[in-house]
Amino acid sequence: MRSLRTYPTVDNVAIKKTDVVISEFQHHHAAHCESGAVATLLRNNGFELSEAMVFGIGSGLFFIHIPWVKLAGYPVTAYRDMPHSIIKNICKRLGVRMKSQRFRTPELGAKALDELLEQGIPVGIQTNVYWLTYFPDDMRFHYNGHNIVVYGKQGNDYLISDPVSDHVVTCSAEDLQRARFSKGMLAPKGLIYYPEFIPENPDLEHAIPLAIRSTIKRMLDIPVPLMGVRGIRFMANRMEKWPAKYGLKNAARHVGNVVRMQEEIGTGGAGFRFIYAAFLQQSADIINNNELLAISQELSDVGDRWREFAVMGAQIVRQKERSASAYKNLAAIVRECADGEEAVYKKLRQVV
Amino acid sequence: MKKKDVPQEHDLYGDHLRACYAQNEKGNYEIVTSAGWDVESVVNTQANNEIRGEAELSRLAVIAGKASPLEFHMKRRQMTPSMLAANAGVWQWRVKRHLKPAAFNKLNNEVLARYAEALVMTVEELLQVPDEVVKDISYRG
Repeated sequence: MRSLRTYPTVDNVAIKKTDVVISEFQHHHAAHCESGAVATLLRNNGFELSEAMVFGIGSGLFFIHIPWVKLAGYPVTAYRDMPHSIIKNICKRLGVRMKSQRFRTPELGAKALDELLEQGIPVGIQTNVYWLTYFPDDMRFHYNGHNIVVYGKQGNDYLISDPVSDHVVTCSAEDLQRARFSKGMLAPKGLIYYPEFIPENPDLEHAIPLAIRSTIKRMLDIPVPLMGVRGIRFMANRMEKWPAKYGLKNAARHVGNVVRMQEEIGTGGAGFRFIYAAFLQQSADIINNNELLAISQELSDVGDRWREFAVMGAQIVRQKERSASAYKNLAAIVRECADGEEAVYKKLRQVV
Repeated sequence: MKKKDVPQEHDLYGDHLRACYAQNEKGNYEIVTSAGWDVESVVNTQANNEIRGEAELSRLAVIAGKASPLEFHMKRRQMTPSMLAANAGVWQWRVKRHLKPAAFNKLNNEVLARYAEALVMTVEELLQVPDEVVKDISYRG
């Protein structure tokens, strides 16, 4: 994977004495904030690892649907694992040591961040998207688990590499404080992190099969019907009942929410299925296993089917399609995706 | 997804582009930038309009004397009572009470100031609602 653009960090702006700019810092565009922030930190510390590899080795892929736990009024639906699981898995599997710290007060958090920047260290931080004013209004909502990288400060503005944007941005100190110390579910408590130690030659040949096996296990073997492939089928069953349970209007909102979780929040397309296919493809070379290529293609095809589900979901939201039978068709596609994914993981199990 | 199929349909992300994973002519995956997808625009608009609709209902309820301005401002900032409770440092059952005019009108300045800070506005703003429909449900800095 290549970096799309390298931005000069200082353009025609006079650098003041109090300004700190890590001038050699390179921004990397990514699909997902957590894998993107980790990849950016590793690459800026000399370890060339693509976002897809970080996502795969971090076992980011998952599925979970819990009807009775609501997020912003809708059942929790996620196409990936818990926040921070990617960071945790990457450290464990590659022997990377990540220094991380949370803070009691916003003042302590700001001080620690500024000191690290002064030492020339790009820092990963956890934020609430709603307060990040560089995003368009309608793309912001209260989600406390957004990861970004800070690489400097000019005047009152922090210089920010938000992995999901194609270019670097700035954010005022006040807004960033608010985003870092937002409270409630997943409260960041000012979390900062940066690699403290990266092994000379991380053992990718060992880590990749380990990571793939862990994902297979989580997708196929969890004996609870809410998670993995069973979770996908479970959602399909629930979906069919939404019009009767919620009424047509509210059912359409539920469909809209699933489509948002799959496409809008930055998944690289098809709820992380494409980025995982990219990971399998890149892994084929590294662990010298060409069978992964065919399986990657199969997962791509399932991803295309997920995209068709999104298209049809949007039609329901647009109310072009109002019949309850539309939900049957929708559920049928989701079941096909479940079948397709099950086949993919079973084949993977044969080859790694 | 093929590279040529990566949607470029809206300026959904303002001056930002989104990263999609797509296959080039050789079948290899790469990051391809997208300006936005019609599907995303539809579900995003639905979600935001719903929030705007809820805020407007609250605004009308405040004018009708059935809800406190706190309810409107909470919804306008896209918060729930539990989120507001956590950020203002007020118990959730109290927040819920303060959504009614009777309890809200008795609040002292200290509690009002906490709500105002959590919602990033002045106490004066917190005590009233705008005369017209509010489209802006994001904080502008």
